[in-house]
Amino acid sequence: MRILVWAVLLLSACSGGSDAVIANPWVRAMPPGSAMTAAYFEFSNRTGSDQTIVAASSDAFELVEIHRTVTADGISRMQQEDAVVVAPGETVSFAPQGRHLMLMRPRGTIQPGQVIGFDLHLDDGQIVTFSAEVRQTPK
Amino acid sequence: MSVPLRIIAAILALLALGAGAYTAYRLQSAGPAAPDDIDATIFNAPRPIPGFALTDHNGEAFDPKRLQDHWTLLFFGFTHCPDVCPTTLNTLARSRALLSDLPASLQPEVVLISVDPERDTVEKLRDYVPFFDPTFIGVTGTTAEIDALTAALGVAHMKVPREDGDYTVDHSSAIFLIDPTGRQAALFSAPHEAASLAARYKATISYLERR
Repeated sequence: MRILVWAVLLLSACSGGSDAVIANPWVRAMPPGSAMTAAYFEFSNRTGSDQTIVAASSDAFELVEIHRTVTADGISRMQQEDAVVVAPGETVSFAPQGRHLMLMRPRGTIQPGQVIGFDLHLDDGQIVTFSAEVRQTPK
Repeated sequence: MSVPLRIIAAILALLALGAGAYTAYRLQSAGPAAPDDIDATIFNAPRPIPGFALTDHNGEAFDPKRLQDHWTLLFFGFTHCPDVCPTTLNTLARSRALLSDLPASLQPEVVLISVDPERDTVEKLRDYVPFFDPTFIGVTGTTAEIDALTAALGVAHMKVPREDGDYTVDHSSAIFLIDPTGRQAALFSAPHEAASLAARYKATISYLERR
């Protein structure tokens, strides 16, 4: 398990040369047979200009979308986001009850402890890759 | 969903909201005020819940008798929900663990009632709900029965079609506290966090047991 954790940390740091850093990534473990789950992480922009996430993908899911849970007047709704702009030096959190990657139609069984790879597509064509462990709760 | 159906759904949701707001107004104007230092909406007069006939994840009848003789935390959600519902169920599981020092008679039973009965079958809930905590109870039923109960409690929920033909459900994120006689006693608004929810629960039932 310790090796796995280090692997996750190491992979997290190797973000495809885009000067973006992904921290604390995890995928929510779901009951067997669930049609969907979510991925959470923090995205830090270490460049001198805006970084804009326009899409996300994963080999483990047929469909990945950027969503945000918005609670207003006591009602929770999900809004799809076409773009997430991260200003230079800023960190954007993808966190429960907020922004998240919505992961749909898993290609196989998703189990706790499994490590899943993701690509974040930026508007300038760069791809930020990271891996996230499937867990019931964040570390 | 066709446009007329969406309009009907929107009207129903507004009616549910209106009923909830009216009842909240009516209850606020009766009886002694609850203390301000408890982060909960405590009804001055606990509100009876009209009869309902639903089914739990074991296929057993879930009716008003199931809310008797214990405190209940009721949450409305659905299994095709990637963020809010599993987050809330995990939070409820951790809250319940934090409440394990309470006498058994004061520990809450936790119930998830589906607002997506078309997809949330008894079997689906049996796979889903106990995953978060083996004591949790998942409940589903006919669309008419679910709509009647949610309208009575002022729980708004609305199907929202997705571009790919699928749909999601917008819904109230509050957690309802039902007293041991099966009446709606209080509600806790989102966002929910385990330690604070446990503290809000303790403070509320302590106040209600003394009242």
